[in-house]
Amino acid sequence: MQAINSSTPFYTTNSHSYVIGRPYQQAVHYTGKVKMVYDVSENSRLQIQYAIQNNRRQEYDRDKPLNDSLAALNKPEFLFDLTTQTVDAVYEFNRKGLEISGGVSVMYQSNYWQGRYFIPNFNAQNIGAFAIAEYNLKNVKLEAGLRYDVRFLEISRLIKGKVISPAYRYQNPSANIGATYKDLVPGLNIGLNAGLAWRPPTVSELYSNGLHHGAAAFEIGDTSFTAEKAYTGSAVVTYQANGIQLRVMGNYSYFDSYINLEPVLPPTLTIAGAFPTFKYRQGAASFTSVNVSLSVDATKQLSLFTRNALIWAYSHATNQYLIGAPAHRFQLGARYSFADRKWFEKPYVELVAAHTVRQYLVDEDADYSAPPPGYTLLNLEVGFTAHIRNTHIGITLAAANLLNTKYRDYLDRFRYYTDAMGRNVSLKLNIPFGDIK
Amino acid sequence: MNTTFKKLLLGFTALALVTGFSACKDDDPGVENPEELITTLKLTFTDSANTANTFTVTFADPDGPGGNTPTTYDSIALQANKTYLVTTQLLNESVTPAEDITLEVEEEKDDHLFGYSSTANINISATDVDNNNLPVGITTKWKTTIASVGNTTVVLKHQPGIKTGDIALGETDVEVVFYTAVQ
Repeated sequence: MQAINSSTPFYTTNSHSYVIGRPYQQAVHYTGKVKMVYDVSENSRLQIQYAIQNNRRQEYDRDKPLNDSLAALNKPEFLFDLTTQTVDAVYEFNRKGLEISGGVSVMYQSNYWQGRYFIPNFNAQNIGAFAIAEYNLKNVKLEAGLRYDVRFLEISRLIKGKVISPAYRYQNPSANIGATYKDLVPGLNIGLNAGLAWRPPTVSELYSNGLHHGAAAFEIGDTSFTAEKAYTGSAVVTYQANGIQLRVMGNYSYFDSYINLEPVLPPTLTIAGAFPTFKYRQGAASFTSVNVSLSVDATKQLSLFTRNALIWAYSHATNQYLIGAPAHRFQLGARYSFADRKWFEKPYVELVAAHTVRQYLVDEDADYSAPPPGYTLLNLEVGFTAHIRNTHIGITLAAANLLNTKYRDYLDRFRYYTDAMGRNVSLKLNIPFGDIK
Repeated sequence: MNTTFKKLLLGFTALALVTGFSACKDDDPGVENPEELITTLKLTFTDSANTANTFTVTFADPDGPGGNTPTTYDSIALQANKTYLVTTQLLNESVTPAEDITLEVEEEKDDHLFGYSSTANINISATDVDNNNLPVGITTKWKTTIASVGNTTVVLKHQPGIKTGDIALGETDVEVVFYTAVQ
């Protein structure tokens, strides 16, 4: 509580260095993919893909073991290794504006941990079968999709010296239907979509029970969670003509069993101090959102744009707005494009003012500190493409939070303790290797 | 379908089966770091004017962080204008017999420091020193003045190679706040 109410972060130091000391995280990430495409006939083909991904994360806490000899080993407090393998097979067929695809996908995932208990080891398998049909008429596109998934989950836990392996099975259909009407008047398109979706609870939602070092928080899961199911409907209108690009999208999703991570008071008291505590909770919830973006070409060089996202997340279980949902965001920007000069192509300057309102919907007293005030950031970007021989190298210099505004973001878990990042200048080089000859 | 394709398809199926089976047998529950849990902080007070008057103040969370809430969380009640001699003890009561962690601190006293601060009217000073003549704080002297209430914070800092007597340094192993009344 002292750390949360303090005006400056609890641990600060006057000496500044680039040496990475504890606490820190070290993550290694591998990924690999094999893909095969077989043209069965002129208008049908089969694709098979195998992919593997491995993530290894090590968390080093600020506090080392009490014992000097154990501390000297400098071992991570926590090691987490996750391997995911997928095999997908898709058959595609098209004829006279009708495109049909169908297939199966198999996923296998396993994890391993060492150190302080966070979530148990698990094996998960997912088997899914799907079919998608798309029918293109002159001005109308119709789409429909159906999918059925079965997910197996097996947990291994060591409880009082015995290995306990509870197993879970989740299975549900998902579906989607959509229609798009093109060029109602030239450039104006309208689309409607309805869907049914689901996801099984994750292992951390089921079994978390411990200190999350990255966030200095105690997180608690619930093994009684069922699959999360959603019913969604959306409508989108786009207009693109006469130097105007407009996109308006409305979306409504109803979840009958939404899983949300919410703060619970009081904090967990341990012998090393009190830690903010978060519990996963499941209940009915709905998300209503409106996205509006508009871009107008004022002159040949100058375009003005705005991008806005409004979202209302409501819990029907508690009849209150959902804690931890994003706040409304508004952006206003201008982009000036210069003329090409020899190898110096597509130079531009872009300035964006991004405003995030205070998350005023949620119950302030249900959190460790009230949602932070709204804030406006100014972001500047300058870039061009260098055309050297046959290669197009993209070069971008960007300054996020140009004015070094002090702010805290509602969704940032560190907001309880410290301000968000100040001015951040980055230089990006984008070299497409495929072009080099 | 041509034969090359069939072979490839067979290869894929075999690969999927092998990875599936090899991993299915994995029911390894994971490896936990050597436990060095501190569950209990115990302060033993002795009235310096009457050594028969002793009492203890305890914070105990026998199942460690999380799980059940601490089972014992005493407050400190002292008399005004008195001097108490206090011995601090750390225990791991999740094992039987309970392990005395204070011995480990004592052994590595050059790298550890107990700090005490109170918002009640108590003056607390360490009565023990390490090999470099810096305080350790396993034994302390508490001098009370006028009646008051407040909070007393007990911390243990691990300060390998950096100990100067400054409690702000190092890493927090223990931090407990006791409600305190001087009557």
